[in-house]
Amino acid sequence: MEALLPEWAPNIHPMIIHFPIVLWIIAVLADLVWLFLQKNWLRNMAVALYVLGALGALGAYLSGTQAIDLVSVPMQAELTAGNHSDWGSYTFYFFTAYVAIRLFFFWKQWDKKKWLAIVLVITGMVGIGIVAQTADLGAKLVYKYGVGTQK
Amino acid sequence: MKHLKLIFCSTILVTSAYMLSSCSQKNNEQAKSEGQEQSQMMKGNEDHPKGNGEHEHVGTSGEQQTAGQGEMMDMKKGGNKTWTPGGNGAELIKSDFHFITGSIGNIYPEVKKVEGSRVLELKADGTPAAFVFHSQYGNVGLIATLKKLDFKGTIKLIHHAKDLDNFEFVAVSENNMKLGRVVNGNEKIFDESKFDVPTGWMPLKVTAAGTHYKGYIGSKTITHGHDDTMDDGFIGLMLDGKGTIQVKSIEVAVLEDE
Repeated sequence: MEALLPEWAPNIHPMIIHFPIVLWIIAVLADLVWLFLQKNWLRNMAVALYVLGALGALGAYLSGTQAIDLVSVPMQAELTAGNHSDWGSYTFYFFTAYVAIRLFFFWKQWDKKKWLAIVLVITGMVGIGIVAQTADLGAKLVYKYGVGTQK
Repeated sequence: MKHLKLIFCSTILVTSAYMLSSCSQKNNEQAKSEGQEQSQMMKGNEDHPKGNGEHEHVGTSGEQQTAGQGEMMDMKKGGNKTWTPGGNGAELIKSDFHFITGSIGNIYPEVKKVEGSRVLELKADGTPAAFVFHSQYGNVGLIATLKKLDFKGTIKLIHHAKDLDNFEFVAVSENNMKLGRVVNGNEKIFDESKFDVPTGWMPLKVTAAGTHYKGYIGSKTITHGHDDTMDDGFIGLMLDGKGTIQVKSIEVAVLEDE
């Protein structure tokens, strides 16, 4: 796997992390638009994006667990690194649980009920908040402390 | 009606995009202002006089302190200090440290000049001895630059230490590193791993950041474990073995909160 990495990349983690962020945000937007248009393709698209987002979160979680021991972390960055790691775990657990529930509702077609769809959009937005906090801490590690900027 | 729905959805999408872009801009501005603060701190340190040759520049908010200055390890969060030995070995240990087990008689401290630097040479007689700085810390990191001469046994960097029965540690023995804690006399190992022993000086590092604990040799992570946080405690060095080691410096960082 390391042979596939560009020469400048410290590890695969920074290549993966953007996928769950973007996929989840677009999934929530698709859900939101479904509330008004109620088109079936929007509902299918949202569920597919949530599943891909959760898979992206799994990749980010696994690569992050590996990366944290491969990069040099300055002592003053250790708390940020620890918090980023914790929030990364919360993101992965939340996305996985949400997708499991979402697939069940999709199978039962319960997510077509408007009141439940609104609850699901709001819960999806909570997911955006969690992934944003994780991303913010990760950005702080790189741009404030320079973690992973040198191979 | 259909058109109204489309207009409404488009408005929501545009508003969401605008909000995301505003957040991103805000984060950039914050990072920029933090960057400016950091460069000012670094500039401040550059302006600081270097001292008498035993002082050296360490880290962005670092200070270098020679031994025998009493409560030299009192620090604010985000601060770094490096302790280096000086003066008389026994006096040095008495002024800067106190023992939680053993005594000066078990380590025969002596300050020597090696490769142009003053080092603290300790000759352990086989009785476990642990000496710690006088201040207590919570989230903390420390790097001891050590050299084993003929020492056989275990060298531990200890932190969150209350007494011999309650402390956390990173321990090296030959090419094996253990990371763990002792609570009420019971040892619990978080992680254990082999490492390549460096020739010459060995920078042994431990960090305790919330529930995350790590042991390093230089900048390479060797052990990494997790457990609950412990109450603030002392930091220092524990020798359990026989023979001689030298200590060139001990860098301490009180980790900054988010």
